[in-house]
Amino acid sequence: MNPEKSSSADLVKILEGDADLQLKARACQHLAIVGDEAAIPALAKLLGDVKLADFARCALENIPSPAAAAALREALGKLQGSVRAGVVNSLGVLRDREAVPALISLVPQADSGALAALGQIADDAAVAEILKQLAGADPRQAAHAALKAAQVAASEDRAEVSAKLLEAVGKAKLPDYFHSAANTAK
Amino acid sequence: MNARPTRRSFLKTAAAFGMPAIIPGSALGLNGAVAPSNRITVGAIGIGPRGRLVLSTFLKQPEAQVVMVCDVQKANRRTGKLMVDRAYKNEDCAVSSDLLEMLAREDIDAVMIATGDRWHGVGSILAAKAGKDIYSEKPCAITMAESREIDEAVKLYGRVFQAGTQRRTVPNFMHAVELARSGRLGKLQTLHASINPLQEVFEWKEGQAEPPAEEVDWDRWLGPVPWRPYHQEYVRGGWRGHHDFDAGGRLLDWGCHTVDLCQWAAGMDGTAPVEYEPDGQTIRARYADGKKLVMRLGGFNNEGDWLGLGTCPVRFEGEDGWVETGDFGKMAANPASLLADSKVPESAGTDPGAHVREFLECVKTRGLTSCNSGAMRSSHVACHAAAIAVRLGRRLVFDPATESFPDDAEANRLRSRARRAPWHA
Repeated sequence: MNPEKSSSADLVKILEGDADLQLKARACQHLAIVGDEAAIPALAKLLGDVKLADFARCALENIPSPAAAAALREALGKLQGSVRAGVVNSLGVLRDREAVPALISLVPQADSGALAALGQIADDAAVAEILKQLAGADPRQAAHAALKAAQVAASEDRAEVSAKLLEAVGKAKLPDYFHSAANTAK
Repeated sequence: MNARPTRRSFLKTAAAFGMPAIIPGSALGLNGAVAPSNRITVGAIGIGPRGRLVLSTFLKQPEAQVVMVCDVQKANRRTGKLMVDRAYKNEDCAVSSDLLEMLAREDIDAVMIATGDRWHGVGSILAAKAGKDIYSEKPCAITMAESREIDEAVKLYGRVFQAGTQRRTVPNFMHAVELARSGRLGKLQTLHASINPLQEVFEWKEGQAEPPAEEVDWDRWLGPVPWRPYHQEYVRGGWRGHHDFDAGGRLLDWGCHTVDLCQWAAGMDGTAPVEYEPDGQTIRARYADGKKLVMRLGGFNNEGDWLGLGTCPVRFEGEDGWVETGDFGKMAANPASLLADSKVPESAGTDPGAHVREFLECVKTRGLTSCNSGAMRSSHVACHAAAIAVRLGRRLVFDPATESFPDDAEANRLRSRARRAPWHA
């Protein structure tokens, strides 16, 4: 069977059957192009599999359905380590606002990638958390998130929010190029 | 205490505010040499065959001081350190298998990235976020979306970026572009860009036992691309053509150079063609103003209807004439009088010397390189759009303003790929 020529339904059968690792990985990759909502449950089951989780995320990020973000959210609380960081990344890419409370709870774990995801989502709650972290002892990751959030806010005509973030970066104890970036983004 | 500013702190401040930052050695009475303490400090990431060529070019530049090499393969680290230490007649070059260790060094001003395609984009973005200027080999981005991310990060963090598409600083290509842009060819009609034979392999090689990470760190070699079992051929250059590792089914191998030159000749930096029609190994594209861009075979075996002027040929055709050139440095034109006053020296299109020197000059002046991130973005976007049309086997309409395909959901889904955790931009 050639996964690159298969339909969404046939690719789901590959994921649910006894196919080897490679075939399942390639099925996920092609689901990223042709997958539909019906493929989401089979993909969600792979999110805890260290070798297949990133392939599954590749498809879930692309399937145009709120059920994809819901599946990622549901997995978030059950995972640890790199597979959780991957789910966090995907929730950031999808800008899933419903994930913000869970992401905020992960911020103390620096390797979670939660701050970066919050920067991509950039709703009011995410922005508040980023501003809080900017006042911390090592604000670099928060500053990156703030600069990203400022871009997002500006693109959504939330000029006041963008300005507040950039002003906070400008005042934080950071290398000069961060301050310059904040000026550039204004 | 009234501390005197160090070279490092001055350079960082100057970079942040767009000021020229390096005091040339001539000003210090060094007869053109640059005092070591005033050189641009460089870290080299990826010391494979191409990396060694570009590294050797950096080592020849008096205003640069390579201080660290980074590679996930021990043999490459050792070779890189030997090259640097021999050049400087000391043993000072630091080594690492972790680019994050290099990027964390505040005493490094710029990085040269010459890994495989999979690392160019994430490496560039991480470097920009770490405040480093960037010379990145091509293809710079493994997806269309990554092209945009690099450009945005470079501009936001105020970095100097030079894509390794060095033909923009090779004289014969520059002269051909000048003929097109000056109007001497008449109104431009068709631009031809050579490409390598297209290839996209999805099958994995049968897995082999992973070597110790100290020898080859397979996890770091993969970096942001999906996991697969180790095979030594991948790390010895056999990654090319594999979907997960190569950008755009090999279209970008040369398209990054030749489409980039066509974009420049057509005055299309900042945009891209609006239509792509694949026909076997040829892609016919069209700009919004009607100019045509033809991407067609012209590989190492001299495939296609070219004049045999070397690899990476381009041809620009206008109402009043045409010009063609390639990597041998020779040019052909019709009418021949177009080249009558040409004093272009013949030089190989693969020599990055002038390109590296331009990069270092821009690091000093905070100027814009020939292959800056904006120009890179447009030519990479055009190449990726063409590669997506080939992958799907159908004509695609493209909107350069939104970098999207208005009528094709599958094509839009091919613009990006999830990165392997924990890597993100």
